[in-house]
Amino acid sequence: MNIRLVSLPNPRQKSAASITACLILLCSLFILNAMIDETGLGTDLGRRYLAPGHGSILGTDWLGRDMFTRITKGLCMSFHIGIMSAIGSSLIAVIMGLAAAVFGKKVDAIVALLIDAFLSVPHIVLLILVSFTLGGGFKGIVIAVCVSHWSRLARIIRAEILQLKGSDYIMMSYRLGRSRRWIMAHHMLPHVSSQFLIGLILMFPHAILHAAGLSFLGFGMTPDRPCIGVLLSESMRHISTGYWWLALFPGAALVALVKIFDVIGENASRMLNPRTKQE
Amino acid sequence: MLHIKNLSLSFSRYGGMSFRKVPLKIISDFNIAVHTGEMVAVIGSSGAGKSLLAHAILGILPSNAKLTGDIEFKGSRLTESRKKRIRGNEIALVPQSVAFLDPLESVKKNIQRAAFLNTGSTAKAGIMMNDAFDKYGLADNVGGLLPFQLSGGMARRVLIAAATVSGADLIIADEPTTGLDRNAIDDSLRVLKELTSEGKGVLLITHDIRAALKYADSIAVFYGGTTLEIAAPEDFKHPEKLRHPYTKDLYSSLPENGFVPVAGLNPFGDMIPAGCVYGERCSRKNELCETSRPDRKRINNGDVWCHHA
Amino acid sequence: MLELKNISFRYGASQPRILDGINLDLKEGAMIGITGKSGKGKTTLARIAAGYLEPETGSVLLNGMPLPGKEYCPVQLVFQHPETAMNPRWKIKKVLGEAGMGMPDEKLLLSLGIHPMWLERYPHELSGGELQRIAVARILNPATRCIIADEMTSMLDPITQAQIWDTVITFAKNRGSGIIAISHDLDLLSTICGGTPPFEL
Repeated sequence: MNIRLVSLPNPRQKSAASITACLILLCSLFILNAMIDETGLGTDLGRRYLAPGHGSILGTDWLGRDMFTRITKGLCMSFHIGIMSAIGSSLIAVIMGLAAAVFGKKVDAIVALLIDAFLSVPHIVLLILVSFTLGGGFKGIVIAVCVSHWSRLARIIRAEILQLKGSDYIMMSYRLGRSRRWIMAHHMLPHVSSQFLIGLILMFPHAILHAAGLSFLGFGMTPDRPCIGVLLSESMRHISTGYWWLALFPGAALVALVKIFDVIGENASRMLNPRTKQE
Repeated sequence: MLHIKNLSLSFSRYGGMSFRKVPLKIISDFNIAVHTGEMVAVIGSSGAGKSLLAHAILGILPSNAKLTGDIEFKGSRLTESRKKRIRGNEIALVPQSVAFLDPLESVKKNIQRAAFLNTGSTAKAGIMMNDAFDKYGLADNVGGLLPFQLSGGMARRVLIAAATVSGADLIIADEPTTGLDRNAIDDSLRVLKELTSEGKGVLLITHDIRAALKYADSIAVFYGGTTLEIAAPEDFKHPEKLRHPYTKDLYSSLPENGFVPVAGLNPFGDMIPAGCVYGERCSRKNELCETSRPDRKRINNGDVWCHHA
Repeated sequence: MLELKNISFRYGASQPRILDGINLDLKEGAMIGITGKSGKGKTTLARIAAGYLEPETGSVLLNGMPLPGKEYCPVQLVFQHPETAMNPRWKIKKVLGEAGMGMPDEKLLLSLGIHPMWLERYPHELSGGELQRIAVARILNPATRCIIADEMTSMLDPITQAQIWDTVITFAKNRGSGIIAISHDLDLLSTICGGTPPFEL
């Protein structure tokens, strides 16, 4: 008798499994971070340039600092930067997008102008300017990313709500006696909620990479409380000297973190998008 | 030309937020036949089933659809691969809306492309297109418009033209009369009827009973995803001749025949009953109707699926 | 009760007038039919009469006053396509209560054939006929004085059509509300309006 004990997973189950797996990986990162104390971050000149395996898992750098500790702490720092920037820029985007679509033509014109203006400036330029002005560091990076990235999502949200405004059921809502505020809360915000969520999730990797880039250039985090970008920047000096573990592991860790968010975002999008929901 | 036997269609979908797929039955045991030179109308409850029938015959159902039953076209089985081959050249669809045309191409180009797929030569396609324009009373300037610029009646005629230049032998018209006034309805259906005199078969899916009665050669009554009766239009002139209680109720619900409502709802998906689909609303329901589906019975040159016939 | 005075409308300054000097007077408890070829402005007129569009000239008056802008409008429109008249992300329960006057009473829901099970469902899970019953139930409340049915049942089968009109006409007769019925179906209009010929656009 051929009894099938486990049925093949359908696309929705696969997506959910992917997202769960990614979340588990992220959780393990945090748990690891909490378990490791900061002694590895300190310098230990007796243990300089140790290759992976000789007493430390991922090797040590030129100041004897343990790479495993630095990478773990660095990833978490990158994650925090990512989450604050993503939430910050997405919130700005929703507020601006909503305001543009709902508060009349004048407000819309101003917001549209702002969106175009911010979109037309290259990211790096704006990031460096803002971060430099604010003196770098965690605050500097987060605000810089928020300022340079809100416009993309805002444009999408503004377009969505403008299109929604003309639909029959919104007009009917007014005729049924509902106020503008009620309609914004009960019709418009829920409508953009999935866009918002997906925009937020996909903003993570973007923000993390920018933070890494800024720190790499020296405008972001400082070496004592590193994020991955700092680690990569420092390792550049050592590329030709053969200490490969100083660049490889931080780079791979960054790619892995970004990929995790990418997978979460794509699968969430597939599960929420009405067109692909039922596959 | 077209014979459909016991066609069933269900979709597997996720219920709400769940992770399991459940089947949703739309059509079950559907039977119909369209002969050469004949127009057969499918009338009855509005809702998902009827349009999906057209999509099932053409093989353009979504990926989560499951189709069972026999479809025979011109004597041999209509498999999915055959559907793909003959789609647009032996069987053509007059769809519900101009959204089915290429929205970026002008009307002229759309029709010319359909004709080209049929004849294989640009010159012949051009001639066919001009003929079609003349036949359906489309002025020259209509050719230059984009699909979304067409008004209701004109859009209908363009869609019919696109279907006929394809040279198809079977035309499926899916709700061709929606949104049209009486004159436009007559125009469109007269054109479709002319196709039958050229030896083509037409399957007319509509909820406009009067139009169906006026032009069709045979009427299939569709309800709850299945066929309840196949009758001739003349039978509707004398309602006693109608075989199924649903058909009789349908007749009396028309405004000019009494506008009589019948309590209850058209069953859909998981609400389709296990016994006779019309059972819950039927004035003649008994225990047998609740438990078993009636078989086909031949009465007076028509077919009916009813325990009481 | 509902007066349309000298209504004109065009979609854009360079377009020709789609409606020109239309006058209509709907008395309490009366039922008027409107018909006309496609594209002649029937839906436009319906939207103007219910306050969805501002006319270019003329005015819409309910008992001598213009239609309210912020509260529940006593003139309610039923669209031809009910799917567009409700938020696809809302449960039917929320849709029915959108007018802010609580849920329609059980007897009304029953007479329109609305299953209690549907209240927990979403619009895309129901068919056109079922959605139209809900759209109608939503506006059949005491504050509605005039119902404008724009091809309300032209997408529906005859039995569903008869059911919905039965409920709407009974409601209107009980409360002295007026009905403006727009349709291509002259038999339907004749039956609803008791033989009075429809207004032709």
